[in-house]
Amino acid sequence: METNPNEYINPESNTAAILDTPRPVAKADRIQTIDLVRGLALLGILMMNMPGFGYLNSSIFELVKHPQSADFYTFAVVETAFSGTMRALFSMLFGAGMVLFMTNKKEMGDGPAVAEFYYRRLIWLVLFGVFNAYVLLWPGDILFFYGLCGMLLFPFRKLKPGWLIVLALTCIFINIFRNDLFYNDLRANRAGYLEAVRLEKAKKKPTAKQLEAKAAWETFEKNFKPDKKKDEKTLKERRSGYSTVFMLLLPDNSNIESWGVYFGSWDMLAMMFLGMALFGWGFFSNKLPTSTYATTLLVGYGLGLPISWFYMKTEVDWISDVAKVVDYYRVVPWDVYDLRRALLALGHASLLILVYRWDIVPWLMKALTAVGQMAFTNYLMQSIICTFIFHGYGLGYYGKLSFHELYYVVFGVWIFQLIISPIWLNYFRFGPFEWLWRSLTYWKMQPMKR
Amino acid sequence: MPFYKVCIRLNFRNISQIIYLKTLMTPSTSINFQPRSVFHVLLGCGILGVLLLNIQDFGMTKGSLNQLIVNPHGGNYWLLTIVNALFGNKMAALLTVLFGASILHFFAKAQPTNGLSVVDLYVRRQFWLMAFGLINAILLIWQYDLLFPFSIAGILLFPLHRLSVRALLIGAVLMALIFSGKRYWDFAEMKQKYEKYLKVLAYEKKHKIVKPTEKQLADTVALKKMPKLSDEQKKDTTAWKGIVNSIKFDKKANEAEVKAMRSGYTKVWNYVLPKTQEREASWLYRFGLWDFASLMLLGMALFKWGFFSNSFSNRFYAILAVLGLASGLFLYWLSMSSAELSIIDITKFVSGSLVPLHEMLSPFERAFMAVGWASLVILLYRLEVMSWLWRAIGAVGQMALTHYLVQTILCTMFFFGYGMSYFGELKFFQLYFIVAEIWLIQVVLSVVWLRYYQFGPAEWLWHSLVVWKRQPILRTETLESTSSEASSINA
Repeated sequence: METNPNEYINPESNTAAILDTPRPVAKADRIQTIDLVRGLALLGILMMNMPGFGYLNSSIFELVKHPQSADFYTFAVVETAFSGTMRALFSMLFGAGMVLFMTNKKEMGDGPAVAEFYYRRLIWLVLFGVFNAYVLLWPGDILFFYGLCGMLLFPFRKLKPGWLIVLALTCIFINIFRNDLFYNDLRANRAGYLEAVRLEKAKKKPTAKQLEAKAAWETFEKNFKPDKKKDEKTLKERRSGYSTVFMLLLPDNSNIESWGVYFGSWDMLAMMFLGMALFGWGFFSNKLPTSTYATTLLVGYGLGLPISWFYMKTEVDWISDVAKVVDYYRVVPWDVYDLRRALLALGHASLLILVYRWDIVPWLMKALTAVGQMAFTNYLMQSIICTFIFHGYGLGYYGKLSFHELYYVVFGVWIFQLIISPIWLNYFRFGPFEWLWRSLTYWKMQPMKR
Repeated sequence: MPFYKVCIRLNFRNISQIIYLKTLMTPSTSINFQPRSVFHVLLGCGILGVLLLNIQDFGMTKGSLNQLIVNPHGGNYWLLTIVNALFGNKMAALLTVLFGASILHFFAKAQPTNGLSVVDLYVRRQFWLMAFGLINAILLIWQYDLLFPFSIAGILLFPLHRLSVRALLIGAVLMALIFSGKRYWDFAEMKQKYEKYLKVLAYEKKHKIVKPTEKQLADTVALKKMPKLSDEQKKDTTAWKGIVNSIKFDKKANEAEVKAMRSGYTKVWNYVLPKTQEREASWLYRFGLWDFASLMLLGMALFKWGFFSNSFSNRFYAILAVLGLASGLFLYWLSMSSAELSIIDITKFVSGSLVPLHEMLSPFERAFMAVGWASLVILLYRLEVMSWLWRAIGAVGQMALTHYLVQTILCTMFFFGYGMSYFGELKFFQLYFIVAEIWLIQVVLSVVWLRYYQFGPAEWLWHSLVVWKRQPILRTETLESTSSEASSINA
């Protein structure tokens, strides 16, 4: 099917225009699906973020020891069906949104300045990311990364979908390559360790190289296992006042935003390129025939879920006995990570669009669309709510909830956001943070009220 | 006599031949070259000048450089002090200022080309520059590469190109203050570590904690009863000792570094890579970016003010030169004792100083020096003092990117193990013979090259990649569009 992105209107900036002026329903519909999928991704991402907000990392080691518990089932479901997929969808829609922003503004006819606004917008996004990480104290922030990656996307906005797929694959292969480098090192250390232990048992002297590998492996294993004292300290400090939490998370934030960008941008770039390609084909704008979405759904889930099941299993094995995994697999099992999450993300998105087409739960779709329209606000709101619930300067629930109990909080936040977003948009054109972002980008107060 | 034959005859050692080169550069000869603007002369100064500091890191270990300060004797110490006071990191600062100015120059001059808008061209320039930077840093192995941070700061700052001179200057000062603030924070953290260590020492003294003797070690029951440090206290001790050891001269580590740098390519690569990554990821994020941003904003402000376009009187440039250099040197003098103390005795530095003066003053000092040097060069260029020299330097400036990469190639081939393996071999002052040699090579190369070609090879590649179309390079080929004119400013 032919697609012409010029037909679409930027959902973030022009929702008002859609509602103010009569337009063909079909047109408005296409935009709605983008907001709809974004709404899903936004709510879904909380499932993976919630443990980061309120769960002590090393409790996972205890969790995997009880495979019959509610905690384990929750973990298995989240890991198999969702982990990474919502971030993937978010990244895809970010890529699509970039193309939308550029094409939409061209219609207004102020040519080159559009690109400048695009970069200003991203610089503010980077700063919002810094705010989210350092001020709201959420080290899992993605806005900072999205802002920087978005700057890199710009020159590729007119590329044909085929080339974008090539770029996405390149990024994925770089990811895989980096994983393999790390894993090969680990395996070499493990081999040296085993050899050294064998020689020592036989009362022979291992070589210096073997001893070095042995020491490296032992350090890895030691750092891998939970450290009780450190955990106690983390628990105590997370439940303390603002300045203590700030100082605790400061090195994390700094490391994530520096090393994370330098080494980890491929993760997001891959999905952003993929999203741009999919957008070019009309996938997110509800332009493809139902049969295509149904096929994507079947392929996405049909391939994605089994791969993901394998991935989840090895993850559990990795946590329970890392040495066994390293001895068993020649190639690191996470190599399937990007493939599985892309497939599952496409499955989720197709399912949602099909549900939307069949008009089964129109009220839910409407609410989700509103959540998606205010995605930026809702994302930051999640940080505000969750840090308030878990950190000491709020309710101090950090580490107090078991894994499955975290998801009661998730449901709570979902319901809250599903209710409040449509109500807010009844009275205002944008979410509050969208308004702020927009006003900063154009350096001028934007109209807010309907 | 064709020029290439002249070059073959030059063996770069003979003063008389330098003079010969000088005569070649005078307008009366047939050399068909005029620098496009004073901007290229400044760029040339920056590119050549940056080697004065870089050669130290190309050719010696940090440890042995620090030893010159720890045990100062004779000329090498003075040479180091003078070079670092006058040029040191000031030439990189000058380049950063010029890079900032080139952002505005680009937006003033560039025209849409090959279906690409001006912003498109700009952004592509930055990303290709990033690629050049990564090649320079990682493939050619130069850990202090400037192109990578330039390209990133260039992307982040260009949306500010419409700001007024005043706003840009305020921005520059703000960024410098943030840099200083972050330096102070870093220092305060170090001080905290030291104080914790002192507490542990006091505790040890009070409870008479000593290292168990061998006899005590054998008796496990008695060993358990002995007073001990808690894990927390042990951690505090190692944290501070780690800092001290990282500064202290370690002969073995120094030898190991020399050995590593004098090995084959893969060994050197593996040895340097973590340092490069640390610099490009962590250092740039924590400190570097603020410093670069400050100087670039200063360059943008200067450009908007008309500093680079000859719009002021000679008197004005003279005053700026004197003021800039004098204040810069004054700040350097102020911070020198702090800088030296931090190398000689880190404990005394951390316990005795209120603030890390040399680190906090550095952005201001460098900004003053960069403006001072730039004013001086513009003044001399306008007065036509030694015009042959400025012409030669202008030729280097016109091929700035090429020459920046050529410096890496020449230096790594001279010092590193896969080349001539002179790393750690030369005395400090001898490094400057190499600098003179490289300068001469670069000047001659530029003058000859630009006789036949419009751009340096790296510039040509860069333009072609940005426009995504092969650009003319020979002098006989015509310039296709204004874009090549605009994009001829290089970092």
